[in-house]
Amino acid sequence: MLEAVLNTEYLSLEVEDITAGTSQLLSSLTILIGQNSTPALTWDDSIQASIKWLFFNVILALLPLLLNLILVKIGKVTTDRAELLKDGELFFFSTSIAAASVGTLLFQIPSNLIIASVVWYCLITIIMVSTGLFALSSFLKLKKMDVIDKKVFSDSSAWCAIITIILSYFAFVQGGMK
Amino acid sequence: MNSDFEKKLRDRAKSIIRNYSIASGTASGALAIVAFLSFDTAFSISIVIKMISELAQLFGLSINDIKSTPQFKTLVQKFIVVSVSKSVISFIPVLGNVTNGVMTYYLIESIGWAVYEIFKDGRNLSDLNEEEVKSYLEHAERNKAQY
Repeated sequence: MLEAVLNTEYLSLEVEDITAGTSQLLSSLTILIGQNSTPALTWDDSIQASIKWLFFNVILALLPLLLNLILVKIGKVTTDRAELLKDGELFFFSTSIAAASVGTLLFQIPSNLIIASVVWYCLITIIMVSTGLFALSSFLKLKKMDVIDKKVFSDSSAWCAIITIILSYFAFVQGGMK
Repeated sequence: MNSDFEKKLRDRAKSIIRNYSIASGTASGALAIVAFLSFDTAFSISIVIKMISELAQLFGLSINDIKSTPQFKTLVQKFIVVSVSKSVISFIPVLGNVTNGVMTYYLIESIGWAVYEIFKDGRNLSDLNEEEVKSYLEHAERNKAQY
């Protein structure tokens, strides 16, 4: 009799455990899916998220350059854009912002796989181009070689940064604006 | 020309050629994925012109309007032929970049040593015909390990 009661209790405990475990597993899965899906954001939420992204990922990251620009303007050192950007600082900025966006695309389920793949490939291209050109700029500076036209170099770095910001924003949208 | 002076000249040329080959290789490696638009060739051509000018200065020669000479065009043609073969693989990130960079490095090195040999023989780029430029290039490719 006692054995039968014990067995029943054991069995009931086991069933309770399984039920609790299953519900825990389901709630975990719900959280996981919720994290990776792209919930429909309202227009206001999207704007707010975009402003946040722009401030923390672009403006703050560009602060050293902006401060340099302010100092140059105050000190009236130079007005030549090519002179300001000739060391390829914007290539460095492009690499860091593109690398973060590649990470976003890899670890979030994108809303459109084809667009996300194209953006991912373009961002990888940006990383390669900007890394190489920044290394080239440093090498030329160390060797005191004046090979590439400053204007070409600074314009390339500016375009590279603009394209990176646009692609990174696409990556941010594809990643659910998180 | 005594051997000591020749050695110093070769060492200086070696340094110039190596620096410009690294610069060109890095530019081509970076721009590998857009190599089909010949961006890397455009960068490398400006580097080659600068390298030839420095080598010419080393031998006390002055090079004016290198770009317009047919001999320079022969050197560029060599460049373009290699660029086409590079474009096939250059679309693959990392692998394409490394391949493009390494191939350009060796190509610029060959061009540099060919130009060095031309100047060492007391000749100028404008004195040579296309065949002679090609033979100097082949000679440099075969013997560059000995420099």
